Amino acid sequence: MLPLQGLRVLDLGWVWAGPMAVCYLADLGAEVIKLEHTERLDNSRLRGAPIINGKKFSIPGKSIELGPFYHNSNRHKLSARLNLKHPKGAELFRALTAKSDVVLENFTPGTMEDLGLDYPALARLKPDLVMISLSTAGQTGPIADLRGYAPVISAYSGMEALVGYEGEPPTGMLNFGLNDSSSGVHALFAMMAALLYREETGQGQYIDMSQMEVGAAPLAEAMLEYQFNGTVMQSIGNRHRLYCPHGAFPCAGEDRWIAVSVEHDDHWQALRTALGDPEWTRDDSCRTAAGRLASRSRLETELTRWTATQSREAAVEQLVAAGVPATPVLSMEEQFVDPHFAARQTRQQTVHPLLGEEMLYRLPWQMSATSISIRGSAPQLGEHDDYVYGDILGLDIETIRDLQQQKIIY
Amino acid sequence: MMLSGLTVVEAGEFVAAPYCGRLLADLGARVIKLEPPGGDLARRYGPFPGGVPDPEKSGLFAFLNTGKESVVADFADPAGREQARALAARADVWITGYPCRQLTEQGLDWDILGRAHPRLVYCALSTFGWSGPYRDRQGGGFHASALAGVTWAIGNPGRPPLQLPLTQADFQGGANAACAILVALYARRRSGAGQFIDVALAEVLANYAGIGSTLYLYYGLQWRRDGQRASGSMGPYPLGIFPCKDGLVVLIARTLRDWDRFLKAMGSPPWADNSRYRDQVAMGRDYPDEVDALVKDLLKDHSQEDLFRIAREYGFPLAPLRTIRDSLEDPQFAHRGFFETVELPGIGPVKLPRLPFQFSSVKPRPLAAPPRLGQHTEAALRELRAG
Repeated sequence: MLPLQGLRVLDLGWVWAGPMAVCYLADLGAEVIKLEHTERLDNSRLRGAPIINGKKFSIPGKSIELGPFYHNSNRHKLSARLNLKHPKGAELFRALTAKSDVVLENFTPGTMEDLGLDYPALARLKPDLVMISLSTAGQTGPIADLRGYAPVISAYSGMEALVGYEGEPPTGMLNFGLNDSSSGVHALFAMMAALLYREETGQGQYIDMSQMEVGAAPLAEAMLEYQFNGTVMQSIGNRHRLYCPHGAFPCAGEDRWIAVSVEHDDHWQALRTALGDPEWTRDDSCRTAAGRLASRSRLETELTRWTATQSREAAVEQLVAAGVPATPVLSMEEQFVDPHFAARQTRQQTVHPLLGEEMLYRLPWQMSATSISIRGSAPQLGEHDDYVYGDILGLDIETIRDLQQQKIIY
Repeated sequence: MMLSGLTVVEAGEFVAAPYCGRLLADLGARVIKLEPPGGDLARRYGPFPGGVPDPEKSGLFAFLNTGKESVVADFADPAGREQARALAARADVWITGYPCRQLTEQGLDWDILGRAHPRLVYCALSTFGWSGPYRDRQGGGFHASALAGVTWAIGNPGRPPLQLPLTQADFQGGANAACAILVALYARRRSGAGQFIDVALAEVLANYAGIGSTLYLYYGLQWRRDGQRASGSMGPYPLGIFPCKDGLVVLIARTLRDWDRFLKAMGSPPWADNSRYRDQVAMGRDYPDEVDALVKDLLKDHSQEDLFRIAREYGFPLAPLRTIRDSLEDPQFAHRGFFETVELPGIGPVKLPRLPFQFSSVKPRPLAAPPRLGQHTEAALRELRAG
């Protein structure tokens, strides 16, 4: 039995962080109902038809069902349609809330209140409701209305400015929506804490989360450096302020790199062994971190001279065998087939009724007594209208069809 | 508090395991931090006032370990290991960041502790995990990011791929571990049994980047480093970092609605209606440099703050690339009480970030100075003797 079996969750999440957070609850056994309005779909559906094995995978009228991103962040959920802006739609939502345990939303602050669906209103119907809002900047404050995606949020929190080459303007990390994933996980933590507390006390909870704060907290090191010493930390590329050598070093071939770090003196000795104790490593001053940092450029140049002659695999093998921390810098295509991730089943295969076989990322943990395996893909829009409004709310089929006709269940 | 009554033993150093412990401590768990005689690595990592190393003055350590107890237990010494086992016997949760092989040798792995204490939730945090071909390799967050496909996509084309800033991989490992622990505790309420949790930093980042990469790889876009842009602009343009009068801003205007709002806010330049600048996919795919030049020209006379204000007024996503100094002085964070002022002994008051969320009816533990190395060793031993 999955640990969250018996819990029902209403998902008004949009795009990434919100849908992902409750997707994890679905992985863990909760019944998660994704509610969408046909005229305002979750934009993770709106990417068009994907390219599979070099061909556009197109099914007329079904492009909103086919996106692998949508599948990753909405698997194991049910899908029902609902127009919240219609008074009857809001009424249906209230009725569902009375029969649910958790509500998640990431609209602009104030939206739920305008719909009459804010926490105080919903908690009257379900006193032990756990509700979470995860907006850009939190529900209150001078910029609570800020619209933004992960890069906007992490620019504001100070993260993007710390990514770049030493002495150059930041490049940022715009491909990588760290703040979305991180917000999803922190939201999951907050929800789980609230659910545990509810088990103990019977009390519900409203959680006001700020995605900007999620991004800022892990920059504490830089915050304290500034407060202690007045220094605003800048990016130093792949270097490290305490360890040397530390970087991505080029190997033979095009765009082949290894990540190597020497984090203490034993690693330095291991590096010497791995390379066969070449002349440039014999300098006594390099036995300590301070000495290595003082010779940083020279050590980097010499190490590069060696890595550039090696295949990436040979270099990694040689360094790892000697006990030097070293990993290849993998492309995503390489990550997909890496034997370590394959052995751990970081991705698992499932079948989508339209797309066929596909690989989805399971929760990034392993648990000995709780199954977190991928059991299926994401639902199609409105696939569970009848279950949600019929079985859960007890409406008869004519009423449901009528509400669909009136574009309320729509 | 939310997790009052929960006892956690944290046997792990630096960032990942301690961040996990901190999340639990903030919600009221009693976190007993086991430190080697020389102290947690974060005590040597800094930053330090004046740059002078002092194990009681590390900024990173203070942030990660507020609200915990510090007990010195030397795992190299049988007595220290015995003490650790005795504390585990009374705990709900054991978090560790030490290598599997070491803990097995020391009799502190899941097989030993889990068998002796079936209700224990045992969470192992490591770079590569406790299973799989790389399980015994050395490395940290830097290597996790390289293996995960994250590093590959950061930086400029033709130049070295770049790491994530300031131990982000470790923070993510810690946050995931904290989630898994709460899930295991929830499951324990029904089953009565604890379990083993294996969190690998590399797997956490592989999940994050792998899911993100589906937005590229399935739409004819490469997952690769592309300087200050998302690669291929992630389809429709623009999604990038641009210079303005006094710094840089991130601009995301990938829908015609946002692009039009941006152009209107910038005074509707004469080229705005040109069909060449209406096809946002072509703009990103075929001539992004040309579009960049036009966008830069629109931004060059505006300050970051101006642009931020204009973007909010017109409703398109843009934010300045701010520094840490800006964050610390930010009115939004101040309004929400995101920073708590803590008096650090021998240093003075500093601002530390609290949890990034607030609960309606439960307050988190107020932040305080972190424990001195071994501050609670005596008390813990007394408690154990008392039985």
